[in-house]
Amino acid sequence: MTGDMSAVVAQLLELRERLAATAVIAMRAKADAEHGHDQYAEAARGTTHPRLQQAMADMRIVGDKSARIARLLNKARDHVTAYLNRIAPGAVRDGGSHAGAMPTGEQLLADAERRANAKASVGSFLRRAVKNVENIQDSTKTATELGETGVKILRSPSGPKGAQSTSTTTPSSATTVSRPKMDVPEAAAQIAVLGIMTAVAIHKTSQVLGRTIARWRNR
Amino acid sequence: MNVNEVKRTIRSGNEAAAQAKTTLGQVADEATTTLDLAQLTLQGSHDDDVVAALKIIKGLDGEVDRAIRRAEAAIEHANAYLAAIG
Repeated sequence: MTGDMSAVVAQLLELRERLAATAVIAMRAKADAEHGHDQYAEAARGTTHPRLQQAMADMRIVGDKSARIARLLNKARDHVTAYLNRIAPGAVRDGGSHAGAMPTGEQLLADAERRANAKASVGSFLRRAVKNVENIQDSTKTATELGETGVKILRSPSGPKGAQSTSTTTPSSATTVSRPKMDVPEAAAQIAVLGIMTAVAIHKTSQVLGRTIARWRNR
Repeated sequence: MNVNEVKRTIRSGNEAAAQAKTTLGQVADEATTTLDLAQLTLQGSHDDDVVAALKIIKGLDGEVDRAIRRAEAAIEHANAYLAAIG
C-alpha cells in the first residue's frame, strides 16, 4: 500500500455513506417495532393480561433501541465528518456536520437511494465477492479472480454504457439502461473501496464467519 | 370482534416483531462491514473523533443483539397469551 491520502479520503467518504444508509435501515426496524406494538395494543384492549402487557413493553423497547442505534450511527458519522473536515477540508461536499441534529428521514433515504442507484453493479459485486471468499477456501486464487472481475466492473461502473466511455460509436447493446452519471471522485471512491473491501473479505473471513455463527447461535 | 380476530391481530403483531428482527439483522450485517472498513481505514490514527467513531461502531453489534432478543421475548409473550386464549 502506498502512503496516498486520496484513498483514505475516498474510504472515509464511503464510510460516511454506509453509516447513513445503515441508520435508515435502523429507522425501518423502529417502524416495524412500532407496528408490532400497535397490533399487540389493539388486541390488548379490554385486558391487562401480563403476557400481552409484557409483549407490548418489549416491542416499545425494540423501537426505542432501534432509534438509539440510528442515533449512534449518525453520531459516528458526525465524528467521521469532523475528522474528514480537518484532514481534507472540502472533501465532504454536502456540508458535512449536522451540528448534532439528526438528518431527516428524507435526506437519509435520498442519500441511500442515490447510493443504491449509482453503485448497483459495484455493490452487488462486493456482496458476491464477500460471499465467495467466505465460501471458497483457496483464497489466493479467489483474490486473483476477484481482482479481475473487479477491474472489469470498474471499467464500466455504470453498466453496459459506461459513463467514462469515450467511444463515439453507438453501443451495440439494445438493452442500454440509463443510469446516473458517476463523477470522478465517486469512481475513485469505488475503486479504493473495492480494493479495501476485497482485502477485508480475504483477511477477515474467519472473524466475520465467527461473529455470524455466534449471532446465529444467540438467536 | 371475536376470539379469532384477536388471534389474527396478535399474529400480525408477531409478524411485525419478526420483521423488526430481520431488519435489525441487516443492521448488524451492515455494522460488521462498516466496522471492518473503519478499522482498516483508520488504523494508525489516535484522533479523538476517530477513537469516538470506532468506539460507537464497535458497540453496535451488542446494541443490535439486545434489541433482537427483546423482539424474541415479545413474540414469546404474545404466543403465551395466544395459548391462554385457547
